[in-house]
Amino acid sequence: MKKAARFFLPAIALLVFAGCAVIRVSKPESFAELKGKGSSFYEAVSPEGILYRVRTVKNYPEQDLDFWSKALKNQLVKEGYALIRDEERFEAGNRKGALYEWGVPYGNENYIYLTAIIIFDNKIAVAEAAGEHTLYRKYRDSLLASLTSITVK
Amino acid sequence: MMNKAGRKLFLGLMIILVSALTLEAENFLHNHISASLLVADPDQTAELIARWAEDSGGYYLLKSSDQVVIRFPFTEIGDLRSFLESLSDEIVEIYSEAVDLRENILGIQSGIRSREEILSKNLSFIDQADVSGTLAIEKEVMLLLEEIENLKGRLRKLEVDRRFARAEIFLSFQKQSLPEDLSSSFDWINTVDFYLFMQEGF
Repeated sequence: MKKAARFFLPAIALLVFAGCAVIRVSKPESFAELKGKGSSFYEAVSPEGILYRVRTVKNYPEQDLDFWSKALKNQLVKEGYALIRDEERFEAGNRKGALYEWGVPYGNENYIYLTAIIIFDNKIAVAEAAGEHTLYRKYRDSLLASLTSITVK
Repeated sequence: MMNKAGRKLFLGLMIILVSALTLEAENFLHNHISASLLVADPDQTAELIARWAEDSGGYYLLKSSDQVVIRFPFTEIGDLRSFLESLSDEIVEIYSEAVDLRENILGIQSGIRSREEILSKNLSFIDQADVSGTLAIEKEVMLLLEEIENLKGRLRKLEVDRRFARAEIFLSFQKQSLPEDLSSSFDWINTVDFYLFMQEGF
């Protein structure tokens, strides 16, 4: 059993790794990267603790940006998130993306939660960021600039 | 040559222009509006209010996350109210007050006139005065000129107050209820969750 595991585990790991999408993201200005480029997960944080994360999910059932953008918006509205900024389209390389900003209470403070998606054929890059609203405003431009740099391979 | 319809249009425009000018000439009130709004995004709302003031022919004096102070033509007061209603689900309070500037304006105008009369009289004495008299008149003239400039400055400010209303708008975050945890038919959408995102942290 152990022998079999020793044989199969690296093979499984290789297969999993091969199936993983590699995300490339330019670091938002003044942020610190938590996990290096090239992994399937990208995370960065500002000095004040504004979180920024990019990951990929499977585009299943395979649909276009319009479909997923509407689906995400409908779900978050249904859950009770306050829509602060309605869909804003942007371009990441030759791919189109859509972002929304939501108002969310967190502790005694009001946070802004950014959700953005970009369709890469069979993958969807999902970016999230959140921070206290005045701090978020401070970094909004650098976060948007970073969104435009996302590529998935 | 203007046809009948053209003449009517021209006449209509002239009437609107004249009535607008008359309205401005007749207004002696300084209007002040104070409002408190609950909004989803104070920064964005502040931006929109400042832009509204500029588009209406006014300007903003202060713009921050919790307060906006604007000056705008008094004729737009009604529009401001409906604009604020469109920005906020809840206007906590709004009140307006008006101060009649007529007495102040007339007082300053007569103050300027009387000083200008004294000034011209003083100047007429200069030719007949000796050295010490000339120096005394000169001192008096300087004082009068200073007072006239001061009064003219105050008058200009009141004229601006007549034309431009002032609004102070306080902005607060709208109290939001906590989002509910509802399931989506799409698996990955279920992973987009603010609290999950904050919890996972780094």
